[in-house]
This record gives sequence, structure tokens and C-alpha cells, in this order.
Amino acid sequence: METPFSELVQVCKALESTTKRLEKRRVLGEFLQGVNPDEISPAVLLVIGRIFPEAESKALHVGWRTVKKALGPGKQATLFEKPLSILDVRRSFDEIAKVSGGGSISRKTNLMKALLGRASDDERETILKNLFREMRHGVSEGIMLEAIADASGADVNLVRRAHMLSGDVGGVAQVALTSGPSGLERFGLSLLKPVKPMLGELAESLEDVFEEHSTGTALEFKYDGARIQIHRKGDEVGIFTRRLIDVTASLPEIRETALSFPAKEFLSDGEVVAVDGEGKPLPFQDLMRRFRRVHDVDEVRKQMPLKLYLFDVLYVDGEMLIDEPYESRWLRLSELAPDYLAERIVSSELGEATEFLERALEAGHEGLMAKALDSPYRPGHRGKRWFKVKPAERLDLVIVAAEWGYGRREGWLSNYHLAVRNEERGGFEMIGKTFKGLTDEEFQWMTDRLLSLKTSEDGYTVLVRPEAVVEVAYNEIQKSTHYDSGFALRFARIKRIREDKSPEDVDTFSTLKSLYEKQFERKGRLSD
Amino acid sequence: MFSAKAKSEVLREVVDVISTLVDEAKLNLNKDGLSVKAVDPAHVAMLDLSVGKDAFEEYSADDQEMGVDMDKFKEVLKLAKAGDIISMDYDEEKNRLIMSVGNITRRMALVDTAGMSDPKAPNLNLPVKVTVRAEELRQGIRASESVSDHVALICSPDGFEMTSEGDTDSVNLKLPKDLLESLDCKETVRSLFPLDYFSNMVKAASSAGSITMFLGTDYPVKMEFTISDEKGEVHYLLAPRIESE
Repeated sequence: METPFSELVQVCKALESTTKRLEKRRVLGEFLQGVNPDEISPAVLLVIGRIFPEAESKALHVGWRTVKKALGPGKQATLFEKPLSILDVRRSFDEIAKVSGGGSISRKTNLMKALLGRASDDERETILKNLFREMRHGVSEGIMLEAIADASGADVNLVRRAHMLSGDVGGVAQVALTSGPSGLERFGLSLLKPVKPMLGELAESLEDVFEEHSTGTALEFKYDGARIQIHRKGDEVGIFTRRLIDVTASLPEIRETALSFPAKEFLSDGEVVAVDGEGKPLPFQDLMRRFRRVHDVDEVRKQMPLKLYLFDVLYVDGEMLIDEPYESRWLRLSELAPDYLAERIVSSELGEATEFLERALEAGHEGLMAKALDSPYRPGHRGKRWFKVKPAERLDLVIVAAEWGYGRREGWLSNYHLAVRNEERGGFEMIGKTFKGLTDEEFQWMTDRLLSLKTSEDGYTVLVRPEAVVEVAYNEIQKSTHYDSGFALRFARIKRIREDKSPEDVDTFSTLKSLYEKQFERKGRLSD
Repeated sequence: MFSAKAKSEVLREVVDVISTLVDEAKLNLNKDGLSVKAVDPAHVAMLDLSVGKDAFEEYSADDQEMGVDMDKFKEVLKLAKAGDIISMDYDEEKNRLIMSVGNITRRMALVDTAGMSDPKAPNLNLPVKVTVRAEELRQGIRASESVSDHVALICSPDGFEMTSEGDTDSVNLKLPKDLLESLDCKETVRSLFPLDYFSNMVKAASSAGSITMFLGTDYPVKMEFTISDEKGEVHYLLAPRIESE
């Protein structure tokens, strides 16, 4: 008997109703133990809103228009009154992913309509959340991996390791629950099978990096290209993107380069950059075009040569290196591919580092990566062992409220609620708070200004008419459920008070959204 | 035991009829011929096909089930021209189907039939029966495809109608009673269907001269036609789209 999809919906609701991590783990663990073995993987993926494993290049390619049409007037009936099961949803998604070629939009619409037609209101909601990958119950892959450990009795680190190496939470859950720890131990690094790359956290400043990497840090250019991992096994080469998609056929010159290296087997991590005839970096979109290209590759190859920069090696000729410190991996890489190394220095001197960052930016790159010299390679991990260092970007925002400060800032309105203008819906939507960036005089000035705009106050927060405009620097835009805009700024700080600007000059929600999307053109969209 | 020879065009029709709804199917074989019952993954459409042994050049079989991958059949069919004879033999020992066309032999692994149950058709009371020339329907579909992704089938005592309404344009095919092969209709009925399904079903009836449809209001349509020189019989059932008031 197949488990009804409604059970999964109930689980999502239970997850939504609690903020406690342990409670979420308990709910998930019980659920995973209750489903049939062949339902584990689909159930895990549907709960975290993934649909397909990261390591599979499958995608639904269903856009908002198609969904809107599928939701449009009328409901597709089915021939049987059978409640939707978890596997039914999985099969429908598989079916939709398979559709291609002429008339595929209407075919996808009809399949989607058939799926939604069988769903109850609650089920329909969960399916749509899945389609847009916004489950809103706060269960990340991290909590899911813990729950898998709970449900299977396997050590959580073993579960995490299996996930890093396979890039498939569903598959890991299935193995953990059906074959236990011994099954998980069989996950290994295998050549020609992509692994999730190690990622860096965004650093607020170089000073922070030096503080965190007290035992020494290496600074590398962060190239404005695409992350790739190159696998070689004898004469066979596999090249994969950050999202684990196989692009070997589109990049023959990289394949040839890999075959020229003095090792029969290796797995190396790096970045490709597309350049024009004069060797200048080309926009990222052009590079993506090359990635998608399968036909007439030789033709584009001439128009758009690629430059390869390697910065890590995970495996060479029988030797697994992921647990070796960064610096010794770098030495191995220097022997393997001396002509393709990323530009780097080892320094903990601020002046030298700042100069190096400026040099990277001048050359048209994104910034720097800072890597702790003693860090092992942790596939799929994003942490403080690697940092991204990049210059801040700026937005003009309006202050919609402010909080009374305490401690040194007592008596001032100091934590400012920042908002963008929503040109479609009208009004302003919050995207973050900051108390950073103003001098004492400016705090006083801003407090007086905001009090003159006050509309109400609850003793803690003062709501104001949205008129005070400030220029805000930030390092990244993130999705967020905290604020009504759905976005949040990281490391926001006020650079300037813009009395010369009116609320109509404030940056819009659509600008914010496109800046957010633009970040992904560079980064690719991974599990975060 | 199963051993048969068939003209490639006969086999092609059978494969088209099945692959319209499913990628894998369970063939039920017995001494009189083969039959297939299948539901598409979305549970929107159903097939009941039976092909008598006379449709084959040679045919002999015991009672047995055989799970087949339709794409593999299509690959073999691509090697054959019209009039070529394709032979099929079941290799019991290795659980494979051996197909030959000309000098080529393909040994294909079969699909596990454990998960494939024969679906039971729902009980339906469809008040209207209409038989339309297949060519007329194909023409109507061609006209609709650029306009919308659904189509309404309407029948009244005066005749049969097919309409497709898009956001801006609409298409209407009107066949008065005297242009129909037969009409048994006392009340006006109307049901809306997903066009791609309907279109693929009609396309599968490539050699049928006419298609009989049983219709109701907001009810499934049952389509009946013959293939392989009337030696094969196809019943399709397609669930409607219910229009919201």
C-alpha cells in the first residue's frame, strides 16, 4: 500500500508549526520510519522541496506561466477516485521532466493539471511550494540529515559524509534506513562521479578573515567564471559544474588540458573563465552559453576561448587528499598543473592583502577567496574555513521605523528598519535593519529627523513616515522569511544620509529582485 | 511459449496505440491473441486493446504475461519498411524477447510485470453514441492545436461539434447529422478534454476509417476504433476537465 501524499503534507504542517530543531527532527524521524523503503528517497526530496537529487541534472522546467495555466479555470478529472500517494507525485514530476520538444508547454500544463486535479487543497499547496522550492517550514538539508541519523541509528557525521560524497539526500536516507551504517560507509569518492564542491562563507572584511584564520591564510583570486571539477580516469575525462551537471562535451579544450597532466587519475577543483580574442574576460552569460552548447562546439571554441584556473586537488593517482591540509593539497596541485594555478598569495598582512584584493578587482574578477592553510577539503560544506571576500554593493533605501538604542547609543534612535519601494503593489517593504555606519553627530541628527516623521511608537520601536533616505552598503542579498519583501541584506551598513533623495528615488523591489537573481548568475543555485 | 510473425505496419499500429499512454506495458497473451490494459501515469486516460491472432502472419502462444518497453519496440520498428515481416520469439530461459527483422536480431530484456496490475474501467453511463470519420477529427484537432490546450466535444440530436477556446481566438468544427456515420443522441451533452491526450489518441487511430465516441456531460469520453484491418480493437477512456462555474 502506497503512503498517501496527505501524510507528507501533514508532516510539512507539523514542521511549520514548531521552531524547535529537536521537534522537527523527531517529526521527520518518525515519518521516515513509517514510509515504505521505495518511498524514502522521494519523500525526503519532496519534504525539503527539491524534487530531484542535486546530483541528477534532471529538472522540471516548469515556469510560472505553465503553473498559472495549470491552475487556470477547470479541474482535470481522473478516472479513479484514488487519493494521491507520495509515489504518484514523484511519478508525475518524472513524467513532466521527461517532456521535451514541440508542444511541450501544453503537455506539461496538462500533466500538471492532472496532478493538481487529484490533489486536495492542502496537497495542492504543498505541490506548489515544491515547484517554487519554498517550503517555508525551515527544514534545511542539515536538519534532514540529522533526522536521517535519528531514524536510522547511524552516526550523523557518517550521514553527512555520505551526503557530501553523493549529493543526494534522498539516496542517503534510503541507504541509511535500509542498510544502516554499513551501507553508508560504502559511499566513497569515485572518479567521474561529481561531488559537491566546498564553498566559502561571505566575510565582512579582511580583518575578520585574519582573526578567524589565525594559523595562516591563503588568498586566491576569486574568478568571475564558473566553478568546475575535473575528473580524469585514464583516458576518460568528466567535467562537472557546481551544480554537478556534466559539461564535458561542451568543453573539449579543458578535456584536452586534463589529458596533458602528468597523472593518470585525478580530481581537481577550479574555475573556467571565458575570454575574448584578446584574452579579456567575457560576461558570465556568454560562458553559460558555452556550457549549454553541445553542437558545433569547435566553432564557439574559436570565438570564445576558455581559461582554466585550478585551486584544489582532491585525489591523485590512488591517493585521497581530502583530509590533507590545504597547503599540502596546493603543493600537490602545483606539481600536477603548474601552468593552471589560480593567482594566490599567502599573507596575513592587511596592507598586502588589500593590495591583492584591489589587483583582483582591477583585473575584472569578483574578489578573493581566503582559505585556512590547515583546512581539509569538505565536499558540499560552507563554513569559515574558506571565506569569500568581495567589495560591498550599494542600494538607496528608506527608513520606515527605528528602535531606541541602548548602552552607548541610549537616547538615540539607532537600529533602522530599511525598506525598498514596491512599485507594483505600492508602499515600502522591509529588507533589513542596521545600526552601523553613522557617527555620533549623525545619530543625533537622524534621531531628530525621524522623531519629526513619527507616526506611532510602542516604547521600543518608532514607526515613521518613509521619508529619510540612506545609502546602504551590503555584501549579499539573501532570501528571508523575516521581512515582508522576502529578502534580507547581509552586513548592511549606512554609508551616507541622502537628504538630496526623496522616497521616490529609493531603489525598487524589482531592482532588488534582479540584483538577487544576478548573484546566482555567478554562483549557481545550490542547496542554500 | 510465444512465437509470432507480423507485418511491420501492424506492429507499428499496436505500438502507437500503447505508447500514446504508457512507456512500459504488460502484454497479456493467450492462444487467441494479445490484449493490453493500461492507465497513463496521471490517471487521466486508460487503454483496453485486443488484437486477434488473425492480425498476425503466424501466431502461437500459451497463457502468459510479458512486460515490454515500448521504446525498444520502436527502435526495432525503425529498422523495418512497410511490408517487412518482424518475427518475435520468447526466450523463456533468459526471459528475453527475440525480435528479428531482415538479417538483424534484437534480443531484448523484458520488464518486470509485478507492479503492473490490470486496471478496472470505471462504470460509466454515457448516453450519447456518435461515429465520426477519423479524418474529420484529425482536421479539427489540427485547427485547434494552435489555439488552445483543451477541446470541448459537444453532441446534440442535430450533430457533433468540437470547439477550442483560447485567450483570444477560438476554433469550431461543426458536423451536421448527415455528415456523421451514425448518431444516437436524444439530449445535448458537452465535456471538455485536454487536447494533447485527445489528439494523440486520434493520431493512434491512423488506419481507422472512423471513430466511435460515447459521451456525456462532464463525463469521460470512451473512444472505440479498430486497427490492423479490423482485427484489433481499441478502447480508450479519457477523463474530462471539469469547467468551473
